[in-house]
Amino acid sequence: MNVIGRSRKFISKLFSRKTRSIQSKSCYQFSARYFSIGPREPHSRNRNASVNRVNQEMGVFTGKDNHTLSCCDKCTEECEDQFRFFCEGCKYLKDPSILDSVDHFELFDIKEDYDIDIEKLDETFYQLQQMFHPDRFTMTGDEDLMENSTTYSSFINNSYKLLKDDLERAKYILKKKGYKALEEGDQISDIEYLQQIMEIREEIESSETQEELNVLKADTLLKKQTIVEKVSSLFKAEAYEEIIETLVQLRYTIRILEAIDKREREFI
Amino acid sequence: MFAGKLILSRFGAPTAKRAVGLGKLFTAKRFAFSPLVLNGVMRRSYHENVIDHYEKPRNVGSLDAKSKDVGTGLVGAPACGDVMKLQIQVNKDDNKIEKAVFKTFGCGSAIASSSYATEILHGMHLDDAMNIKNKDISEHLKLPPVKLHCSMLAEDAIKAAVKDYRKKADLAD
Repeated sequence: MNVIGRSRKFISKLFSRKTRSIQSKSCYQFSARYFSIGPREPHSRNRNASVNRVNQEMGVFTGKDNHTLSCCDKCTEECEDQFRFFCEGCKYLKDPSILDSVDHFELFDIKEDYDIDIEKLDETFYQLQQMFHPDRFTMTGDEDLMENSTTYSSFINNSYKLLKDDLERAKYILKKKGYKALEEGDQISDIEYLQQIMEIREEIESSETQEELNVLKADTLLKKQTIVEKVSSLFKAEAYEEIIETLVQLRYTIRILEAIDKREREFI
Repeated sequence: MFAGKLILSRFGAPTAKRAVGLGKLFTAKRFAFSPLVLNGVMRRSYHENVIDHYEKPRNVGSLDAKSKDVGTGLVGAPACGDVMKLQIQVNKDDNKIEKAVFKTFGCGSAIASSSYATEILHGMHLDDAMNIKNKDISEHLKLPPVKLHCSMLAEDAIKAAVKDYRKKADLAD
């Protein structure tokens, strides 16, 4: 319950009105200049009243009153908080290019650490998806808005996948610390380890029964668990060079698990 | 971004507008270079040489690694978790490769690269084998830039196998 409460609080932060007095004013002035007083710009989209009404009823964040999308271009420059994806003034989705600078951990409001709060990650993920899912924007009939929400939504998906993946998460943290792991063109000098991998892969390939695979799978899952725990403790000790070495084993172990799953499907 | 757009069609109601939007996507110029669209998933098609080697890999197998006239090259690509074993059987008298076999667990390009490598190694002199460059393999298979490292892996495997054989031969002398 606590977790949920905290996440909700965080979500509301995304749309916080802290700076609204300044932001919305500039937004309004900007749009008013273009749409209320001056002649209409060719790129303006004045939605008709019925669409606006539907949007309001659906609770869709989109144009409000005389506000139109172009005012967001202005807001993007002025908004200090890069995580506010909606324009303060008109509640319109900002240009997705701001996602380039988004940190995955901050997006889900979790501590940047290898051991993550999975429960909170899931909870925040569902809440974010509820807000940015393209289905929410279908009713607006605004193609730009639908496309932007798709970009946001898939970014959230990828971000969630990355954080959930034991290997990718480690790689991401290392990258932020300036280390490179599992680069293309890297080589392994440990021939013995490669031989072990080769043997296991051959064993999977030649397995005939589900029981054989089950034994292999249980073994490999245990191995993976051990490696993940090792990586976690190495992160605590900040032994980054060692982590990079350990990640190679994690990569091969994950591949073995995938091979087992593939072989299992062949039995069916 | 494009993938996202395509996935869109799987969610939500398939409105007429979206159908039109998708139609536009597929005919757009940037998609004109031979992609296959299967089940709404984009697939860049590989060159037929890769597919041929992947579906009918040549010379899959193992040789006795302990034998004196066999050289074994075992290499791995940690980035993608591939492992490749390439073995050569060499004629002692003229230093030519009599037989080359491979076993690769990895992506299609890695399998095709090692399969093609064993094919060209047959009857080749050891010195010539050492001069095989990854470019020779990638050009034949027309590998895309992201898969060039697979042909590099095959090159490394050939070199490792030749070195292994020479080491054994030196010890025997």
